[in-house]
Amino acid sequence: MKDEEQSLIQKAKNGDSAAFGKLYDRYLPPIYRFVFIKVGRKQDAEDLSQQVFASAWQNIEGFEFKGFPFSSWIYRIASNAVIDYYRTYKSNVSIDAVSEEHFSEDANDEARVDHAINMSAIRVALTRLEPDQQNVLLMKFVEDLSNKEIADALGKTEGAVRVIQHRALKQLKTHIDGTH
Amino acid sequence: MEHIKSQLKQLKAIAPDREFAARAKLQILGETRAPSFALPRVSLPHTISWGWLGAGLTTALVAIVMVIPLAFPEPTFSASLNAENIANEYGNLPINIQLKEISYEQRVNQTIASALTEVSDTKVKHLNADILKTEQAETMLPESSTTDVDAMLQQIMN
Repeated sequence: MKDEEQSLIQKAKNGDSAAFGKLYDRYLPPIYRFVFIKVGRKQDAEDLSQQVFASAWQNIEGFEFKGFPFSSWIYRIASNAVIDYYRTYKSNVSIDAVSEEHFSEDANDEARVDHAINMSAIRVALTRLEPDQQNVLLMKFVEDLSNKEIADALGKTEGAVRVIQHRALKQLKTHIDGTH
Repeated sequence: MEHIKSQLKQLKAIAPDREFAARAKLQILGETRAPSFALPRVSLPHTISWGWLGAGLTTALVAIVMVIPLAFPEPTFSASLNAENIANEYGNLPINIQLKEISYEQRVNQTIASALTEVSDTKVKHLNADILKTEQAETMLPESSTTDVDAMLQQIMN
């Protein structure tokens, strides 16, 4: 997996658009999810996701392996895009805007409705956390990234990631319990 | 806490539209990648920072600038010891001497020639013996005036 990804990255660095297309297929869903959960609007999430991959394609020549995973690199671009988004628009994004249309098309109708209800609560709670806490929880529990990948993506140590994760979970539980 | 984690995992259900994914992919890959003008990156060992490297290079440069004049002293050219000038001066010396000799000999020859001409020409008044005698007689002064003159000269000299 890693070797195959490394090969794709090398080809993409050399200008092979098909290779970058495979990386896009692999990373679009998690990046879109990450962005969507943070901005809460489908259109904005699509625009930002496209912007993230366009930036990655333009700058992939500058990517160096050196033990720095590609996933961390692309999450860092996404994280910066979200920061710029809020810095520029400062819009009042409502996390309640989530509806079942955003869910995987593979899920059945009942499951999609349940997801919508549960996600509304969890996302409202998430938005009340600090950006770093949101990032750590999303990367860790939604995207299943390792602590090292998260640390690389956020420019922090693995120890700091563990501390943020612990505090974020406690705070998130407090917020969710407070809404019930 | 496990409940929270499981709730978070539900967010995995979020996925992009297939239509959007395909359209965005075409647009992104259709863009020509801008040529990279970035300078090549230089990696330094962790033990060396750019600051220390800069200071070291500056010191080395100063040392080189100071040592070069000592290692390769610039030859001093004295005008009096310049071989080329000396050769030129030496080459011109006989010519100058000869020119001066020629000039001197010309003047001597002219003087001698004019002297001989004057001696041989008896028609010239101041060389005619009769005229000279006449003039000598005319210039003979009375004795008394000579005595007076001598006395006056004596007085001046005293």
